[in-house]
Amino acid sequence: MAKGIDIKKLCDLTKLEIPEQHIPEIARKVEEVLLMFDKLDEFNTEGSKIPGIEDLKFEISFEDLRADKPRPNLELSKEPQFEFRLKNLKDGYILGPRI
Amino acid sequence: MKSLFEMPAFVVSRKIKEQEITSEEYLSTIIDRIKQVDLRINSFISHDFENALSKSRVIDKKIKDGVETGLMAGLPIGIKDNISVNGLKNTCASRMLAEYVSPYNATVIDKIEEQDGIIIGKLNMDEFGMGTTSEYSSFGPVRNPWNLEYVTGGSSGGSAAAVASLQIPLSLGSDTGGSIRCPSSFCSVIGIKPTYGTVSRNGLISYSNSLEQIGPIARTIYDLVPLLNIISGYDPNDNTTLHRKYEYQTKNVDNILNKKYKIGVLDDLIDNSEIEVTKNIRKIIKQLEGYGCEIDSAKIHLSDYALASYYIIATAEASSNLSRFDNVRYGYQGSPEGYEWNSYFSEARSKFGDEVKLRILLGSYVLSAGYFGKYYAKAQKLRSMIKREFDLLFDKYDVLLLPTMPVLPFKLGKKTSQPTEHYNLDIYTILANLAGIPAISIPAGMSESGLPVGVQLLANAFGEQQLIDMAVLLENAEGFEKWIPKI
Repeated sequence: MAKGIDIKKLCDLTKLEIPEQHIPEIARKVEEVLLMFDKLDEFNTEGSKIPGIEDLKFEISFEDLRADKPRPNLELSKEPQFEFRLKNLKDGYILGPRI
Repeated sequence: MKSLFEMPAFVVSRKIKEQEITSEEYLSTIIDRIKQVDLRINSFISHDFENALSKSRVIDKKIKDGVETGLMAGLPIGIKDNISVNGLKNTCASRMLAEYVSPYNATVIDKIEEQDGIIIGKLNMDEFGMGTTSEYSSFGPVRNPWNLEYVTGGSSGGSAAAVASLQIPLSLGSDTGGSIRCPSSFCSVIGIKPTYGTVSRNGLISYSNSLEQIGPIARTIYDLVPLLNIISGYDPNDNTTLHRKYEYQTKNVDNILNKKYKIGVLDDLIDNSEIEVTKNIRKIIKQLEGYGCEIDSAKIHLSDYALASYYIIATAEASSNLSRFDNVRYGYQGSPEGYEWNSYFSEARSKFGDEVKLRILLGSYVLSAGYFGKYYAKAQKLRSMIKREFDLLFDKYDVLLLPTMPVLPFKLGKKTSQPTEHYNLDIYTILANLAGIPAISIPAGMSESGLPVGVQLLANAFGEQQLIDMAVLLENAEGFEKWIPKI
């Protein structure tokens, strides 16, 4: 179930870097937890459903919810509270990873 | 005579308002205490002493000038390091956020500051709230004030240990699967996880949005209730919050006894605990019986499946929530020169600790296309069935009683290699998070080796008042607010 190759694929999907030598240990732990999750196989949930939006009680209707209030960003706010510490500068440009 | 730091917050608050002492005097005593004690406990990640002292002077001036002050005037409060405080580092005990300074206040912080409370520092925890011992912190483990070789419980271990060791009278923690109640039990303080939707989560760094709540920790229920009143209520920045219908109160014992509480005792769970835990919980049941409460045996049939359900939902939500930490929007100082995008993100995300990485991997696995129905959908169905089972139980009982933790605090480093052994410790606390109901941990005595035991009480949604009533009864019977660790 949680063989080394699956872990590598998962690491790739989740953008996690795990050193090769730690993969067997992580695989063991993932397998152990998935075995615990398999406990749910013993239980029949047929006929039960996940509560939908119709099951929820709303104190305030959707129409009355607060509209998004954009907050001023740090550059535009009247009294900037932070000093920008741009360390990764080269020739006046901010460095970024290659695309 | 008691030192100032030994006094409950409500006593100090009165003294400050009546100008018997100044807030600055009190804060200086608290700062000295922290400097003296925390080297051994490691409950704080960062302090804000200078700012706290200047705020205390402002409050003293307000009082002197006869200006009305808030309910928390001059009282120092510690904040778990996953709750945003403007201008302070908000690390979540992770190397990933070691340099991150919050640019805004969480709603709970605004509410505390509106009442003239003083934020004194940020408290240690398991990284991103993922753990039951407060050992998974990048800033070192928190040590239990009752025995420095033992764990405090987690993930709000710093919040509970700082209160128990008389460094601060009050703190805030967050509870995703018992993170307030577990350390409260292991450190012998009171901690409450309010009903989901009672306290705003705006400004709390999310681990599992559908499970977590912010809640207060204190040494006495008389300190805890005012703080709970302050932080709860509707917040337009968190649409899951509700308008509170009433103020929570600490009633007198006679008023509480008039209610004739019906208590469902979860015998199975009590008997499956360590023997010293069982013994102390049985003693508490006798005390409540002596108060005239009606005691009956109750059972939660689905508790065996709750752990799997909880960890599937929690890891799934964690994998989604933690995907934002890519060192572009949030992260640490590191040069991206020479990196390609994907390898830069992977390298940056390697700063997460092992437990966080494990939970992200598990969450991605259970949400992946082939396994969604097998794990996540089934876990959600089970969750709604657990909620229905609680609804039926609360038709019969006012509150349910069980141990907070099945074990006594254990030695640091003892339970870290087997993840499921670790996860099994949460079995009694996760029930309240899955059902979204309130739960409180109250000190319930000491083992023969001098380690604390906690009793947990659950009530139906928005039944915090019933839990407070129970805490008042037990505090009056036990006098646990006087139990103080020798450090």
